Amino acid sequence: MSQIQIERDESTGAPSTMLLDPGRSEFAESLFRRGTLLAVLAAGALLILLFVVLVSQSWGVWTNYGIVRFLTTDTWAPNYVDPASGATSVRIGALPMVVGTVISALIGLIIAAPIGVLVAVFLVEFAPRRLALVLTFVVELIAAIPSVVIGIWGLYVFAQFSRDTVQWWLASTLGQVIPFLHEDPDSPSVFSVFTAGMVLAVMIVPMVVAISREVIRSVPMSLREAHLGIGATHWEVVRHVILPTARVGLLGGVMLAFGRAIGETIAVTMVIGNVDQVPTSVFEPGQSIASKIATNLGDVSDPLELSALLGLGVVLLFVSVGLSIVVRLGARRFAIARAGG
Amino acid sequence: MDDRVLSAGDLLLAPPTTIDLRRGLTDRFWKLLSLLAAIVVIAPLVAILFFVVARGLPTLTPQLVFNAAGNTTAPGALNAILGSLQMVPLALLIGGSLGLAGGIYMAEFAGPRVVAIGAFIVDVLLGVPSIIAGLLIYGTVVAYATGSSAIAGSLALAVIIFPIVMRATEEVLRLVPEAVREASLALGIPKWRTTISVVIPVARAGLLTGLMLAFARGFGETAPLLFTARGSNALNVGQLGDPMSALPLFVYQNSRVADDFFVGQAWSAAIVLLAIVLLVNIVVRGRSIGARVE
Repeated sequence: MSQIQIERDESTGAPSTMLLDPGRSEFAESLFRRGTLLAVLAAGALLILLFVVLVSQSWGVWTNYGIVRFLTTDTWAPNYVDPASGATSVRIGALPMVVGTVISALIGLIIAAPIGVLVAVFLVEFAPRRLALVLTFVVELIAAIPSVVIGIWGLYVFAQFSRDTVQWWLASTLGQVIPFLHEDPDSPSVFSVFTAGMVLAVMIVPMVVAISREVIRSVPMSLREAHLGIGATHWEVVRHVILPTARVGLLGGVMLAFGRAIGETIAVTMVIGNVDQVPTSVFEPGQSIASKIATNLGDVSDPLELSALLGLGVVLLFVSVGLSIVVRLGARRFAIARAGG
Repeated sequence: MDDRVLSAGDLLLAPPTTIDLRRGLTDRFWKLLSLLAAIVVIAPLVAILFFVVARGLPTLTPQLVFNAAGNTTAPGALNAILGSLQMVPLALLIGGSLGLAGGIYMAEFAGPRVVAIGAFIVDVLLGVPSIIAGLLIYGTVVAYATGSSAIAGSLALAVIIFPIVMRATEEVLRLVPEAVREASLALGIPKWRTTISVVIPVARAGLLTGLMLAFARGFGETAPLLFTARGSNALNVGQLGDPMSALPLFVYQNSRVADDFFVGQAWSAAIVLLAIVLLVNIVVRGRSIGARVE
């Protein structure tokens, strides 16, 4: 325990006026205040720096290749050889990665959002207190698992399991009707956008649970009591009172989880298949923005390709920052609405 | 049906109608389903723990911990372990001290406007994918100063740790009762001295929790190190200008080699990595859970 040392006047034993000396005290005060303020400014500078560095380092792809062309080209081949004429050209397109990112993140969300919200309902509304505490702890631990560990499990264990169970079942039922759920019957790929989505679901579920739990907890007790008082069952309270009241907050949590999913790198890189194509089915291998950067940045020498990889980073940065801003604005409106404004 | 909620039927002492029964069953159904959902969420954790231990334990030998990598016959991850133990503390030193200072300003000095703007910035930074932190350092430090280096890896991790610690510090300091500050200020002790000698000691345990969770987070990160520290088979101690490996990087790089020898090492290193990260989390979070259970 640190103690406050008070300097004392030697002759009288009274507290030294040094401590209370306005000049010295004010100097220390302003030094401390400004020093710590500097760290807050550093956070702001860091955010600006992210944009400045990424945009300037990827300048080549925006100016020499063009934003629209970059985002709509479906091939990544710096030395593209036209199969008909044999002519070579540069084709660098972000479309396969953008599609792979969005589809895998959406699959993760479709699985994780309902399960996560339901678990949050269980934790807050149904579970005994001790069980809820233990479960909350375990779910927090899932969030703490390093993504490379989830990745190696996905790569060597889960991908095969998922292909032979969930994927096989989906492809042999819905896949017969919906082309996007069709699998190659002869050699279904172990690694696919779907596998990546499943792994992402595992990784974002703790986030959905954590945010949903806070949102559901913040629903006023009086609303619950009012409905229980007129004879509603627990589930009816959840269904007709809590979920509608918490709707905006739950949506915000799901959007933040989506942001987390699109930026997840290592685990996705290990299971998505790393093929730069726009998948025609979720059971085909693909590539996400983050996995493309992770697999290629290390061994690229072509300046345009390098700036294109950083350009992918810019896309990722804009989307994740945009999501944060939207959720934050939404949260503010939500708070105002709840306050009765 | 003894726990059936009181309905209009009960009030009239009438036997339960089919509607009442159905409502009761629906209630039970959803309660059961939500319990099932909780089990489904926990299942991957159990599966991951099981498979990491089952696949990694056979090759988890003392050699792995005491040898450096690069030998094609003897396993070794010492270079990665030492790499993590150098880069992560350095990152914590940089990102953690910035985060502490920023959090202190936010909680103790900032006016409402600065608090709002600062919280917004931290929110956005927390949402930035970790690979972007790697790209930032790649486009600056790696490209113009050091090349692939341990210091670049540390800086990339520091970018991730900074907002985490800043948010944790701000939240913990806000929990310190205002009366504690007022008591100190009333003695004529200036604000800065009050913060250092009174507020921070009171919040010490919480601040430490934030720092340790940030450490665990940095310890498990792979993506920001890919093009910054890059990894190296050489045993690198103190050569911060040279490439350096780290445990997560070791797991990632070895898992992608199509050779059981290397994949086995990846699984074994994953045990070490998972044990360290989960241990820190269990110790730090378990303490607060334990307090709440009692």
